[in-house]
Amino acid sequence: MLAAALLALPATVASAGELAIAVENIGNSEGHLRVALYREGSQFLKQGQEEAATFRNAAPGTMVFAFPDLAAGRYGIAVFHDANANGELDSNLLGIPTEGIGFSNAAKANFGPPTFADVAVTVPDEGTVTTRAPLTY
Amino acid sequence: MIDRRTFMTSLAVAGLGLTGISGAALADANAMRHRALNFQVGLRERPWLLGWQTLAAPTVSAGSAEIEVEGRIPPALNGDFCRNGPAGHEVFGHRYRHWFDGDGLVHRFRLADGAIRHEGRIIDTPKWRAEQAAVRPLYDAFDTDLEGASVSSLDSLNPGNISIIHHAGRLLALWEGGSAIELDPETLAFRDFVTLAPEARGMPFAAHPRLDRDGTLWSFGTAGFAGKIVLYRVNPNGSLHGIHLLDVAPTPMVHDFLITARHVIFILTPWRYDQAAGETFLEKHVWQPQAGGQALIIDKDDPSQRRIVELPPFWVYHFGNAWEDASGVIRFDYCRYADPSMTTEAFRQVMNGEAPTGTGASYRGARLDPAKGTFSESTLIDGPATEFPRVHPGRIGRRTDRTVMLLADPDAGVDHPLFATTAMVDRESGRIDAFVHGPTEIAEEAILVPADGDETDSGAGWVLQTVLDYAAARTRLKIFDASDLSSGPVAVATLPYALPLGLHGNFMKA
Repeated sequence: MLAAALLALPATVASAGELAIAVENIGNSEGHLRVALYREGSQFLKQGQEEAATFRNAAPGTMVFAFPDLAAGRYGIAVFHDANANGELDSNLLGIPTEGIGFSNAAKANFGPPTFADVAVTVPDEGTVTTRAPLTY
Repeated sequence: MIDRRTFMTSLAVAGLGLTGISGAALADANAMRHRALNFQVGLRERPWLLGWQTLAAPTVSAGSAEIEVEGRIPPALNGDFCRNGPAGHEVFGHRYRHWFDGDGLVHRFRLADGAIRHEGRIIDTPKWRAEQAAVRPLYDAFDTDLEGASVSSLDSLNPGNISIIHHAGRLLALWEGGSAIELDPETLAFRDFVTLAPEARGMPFAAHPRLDRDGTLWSFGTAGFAGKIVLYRVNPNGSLHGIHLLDVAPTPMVHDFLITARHVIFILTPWRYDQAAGETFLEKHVWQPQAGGQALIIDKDDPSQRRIVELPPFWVYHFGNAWEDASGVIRFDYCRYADPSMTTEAFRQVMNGEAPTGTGASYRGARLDPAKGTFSESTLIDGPATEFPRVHPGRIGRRTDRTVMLLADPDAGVDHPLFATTAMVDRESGRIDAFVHGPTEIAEEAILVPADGDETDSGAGWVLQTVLDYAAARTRLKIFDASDLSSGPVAVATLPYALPLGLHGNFMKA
């Protein structure tokens, strides 16, 4: 019973790492910046597969988000500028995103999103790792 | 312990990481620099390649004191003649691969009571501004692949470099792979991408919209990656009337289209998009003549009503005009290429300092019978290559017999292989009224400006066009009496500089 409870806990807090991301090139203060974290092994960019997700009011320029208390491992982050604050990444009739998007490792979209391998950042047992996500509109 | 060699390698890697240039990107950049040298070498041997020299400065202007005018600019001809075309052929010494790659130069001749001034500027698109800030090319182009460049949106690459129109009080620079670009009508500066509706943001919008009799603007965009052609109907006040997505897969390259009183017509050639076929947008188009072509005829008021007529395989950039005759047969005129070799060969060769090869277009008059499903045509000009057919701008979709166009006639007696003759062709009478320019003048698109109030296709009015005199290193505006080209221009205005050869323009009466 005790063993099962221990197993259910996330990797020990004592050895947790942190992933910080600088979202750059934010065009304006409209709506929200939405940031989603995916762990290796989950389906990258698939709804419901996020390890964690957060949003804040948009501010032009650069905003920094941090995900503390992460188990060591490889993670990827996707960001979009939800300018109309509808909670969704809007796209046009041809399926091309019409709001600013960015990815950890400054990975770039190229007629489609980057792969997890392109965006993956390794978080160690301890300490903070920082990465960048310049938005492109 | 770090030895010196490891240290040097780390430095090099760190340096590259800072600027974000990968090894492959360096190879591409080197190829672009090499091309710039090839061009300069070729220019010495073939001085007419001046037409593809990159514009040295992002803005040009000349007032009436600096513009030499021979003859007399008709005082009744008041307004703006605006043109567009790729002119930023090099980005900090990196030369693009294809004529259609470079940043657009929009320029305007303003004619007022017989006086003239000229202004031009490279469109300061987000793409242009980002590259100016980075001091190097950052983005892929129509036929230049830059390893490591990303495509987050079509407009991130948009150089706005093919045409320019006035509609609903707005001045619009047009590419065809992304949105229309609204310009400041006075300064010609970039204002914004035009978004007709939130769901249409960033979608392709053609360089050849067709202006209907009531001021409605019809346009389209091709999206080979999605297997679609997008049809736009824009109200006379600039708002969106409607968008229809047409399933056309595989999607051919489509540069121009046609309207009549009742129909919108797409000529679908067998030059088709295949995502896997190559690296650049141009390379992804595969010539498949065995597949033949098709005319897609769409009801203007109900785009779900469509007919298809099978066509022989050919490539076409430009149409003159289309209309329906009394029996419902669609008549149109166009410049027909046997294949797209001019685009895949000649327009790369001139960028690399080479003489162009490729097959030019013949001029045809066609009949398309939607009821019978038949197509027939006659060849009106063959031998000299033809291009840039233009008609009375107020009669799009209605009958016109007169089309002004350019000819490249090997027997014209000029010193270059490019367009040297401007011709008004009257299909009804069979008369061709032509003027051969000077031996070192390259003719650019000629447009018809009807006389004030002339709604008919009488031929009254003017023909305006620019020419590049590569020997003098000067661009000239020539104004002809539209009913008498062969007598020569009534006025020639010579700018104190040479501009790269452009593509399309239009006149907006004051």
